Amino acid sequence: MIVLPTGRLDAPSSEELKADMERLIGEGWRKIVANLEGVDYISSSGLRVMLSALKKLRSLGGDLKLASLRPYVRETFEIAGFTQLFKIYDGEEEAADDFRRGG
Amino acid sequence: MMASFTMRAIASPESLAEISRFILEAVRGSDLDEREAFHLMMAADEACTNIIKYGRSGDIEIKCDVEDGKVEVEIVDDGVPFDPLKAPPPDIDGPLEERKVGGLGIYFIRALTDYLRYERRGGKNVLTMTVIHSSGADPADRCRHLNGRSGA
Repeated sequence: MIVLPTGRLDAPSSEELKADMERLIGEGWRKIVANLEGVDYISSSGLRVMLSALKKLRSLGGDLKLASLRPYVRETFEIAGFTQLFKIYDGEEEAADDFRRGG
Repeated sequence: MMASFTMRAIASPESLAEISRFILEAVRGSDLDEREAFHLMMAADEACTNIIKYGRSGDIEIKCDVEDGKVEVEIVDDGVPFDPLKAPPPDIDGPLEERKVGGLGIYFIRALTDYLRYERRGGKNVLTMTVIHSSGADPADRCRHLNGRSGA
């Protein structure tokens, strides 16, 4: 499953993303790629949603992989120390391929 | 170059995008480069998010002062007294199981600004954040701000 949030992931829009992620996990999706190519800003609220989804998916034997981060968004993940927690790929294809290989 | 811009917004989540636009607009033409402007916008967004979520303030007033080599943003709210500089830092090195989901906003404000000051003024919270253009800063000014931070 690929999720494609766009625009600003600030406090209000992160609430929507949180609901989407919870719904997907509730529907049984375990291998999720977040393609962030359309995200120009992610705040701590957005990072919290990503972290919660990552923890939940890993605990269920799945994963949340990130793809196509813009430079400032990547920098935000770095400052938060999140680049050590997530698997980050240049594009969604690479992330999806890694899932297919069992990664 | 000196210029001053102000805006007032209702302390509600819907105002955050407008506040960010205001900051980016105000710093256009300042000495900050695009990345520094982004950092300032982000720090202001995190500060205003905290006010909206926890502060129970009616309005937020934002003043943006463009000065030589730097931009200072002052954020004023009349909510519950809160000094973000006293908040404990989050764990950003530990393994996934130990990571907490809170505390990151204030950490970002600290990480993305060169100088931060909090004061209680006339029954209001006043948070002042400064981003200095890295190659445009007067070294003496930078020393002063470092001294200011260590004393904060």
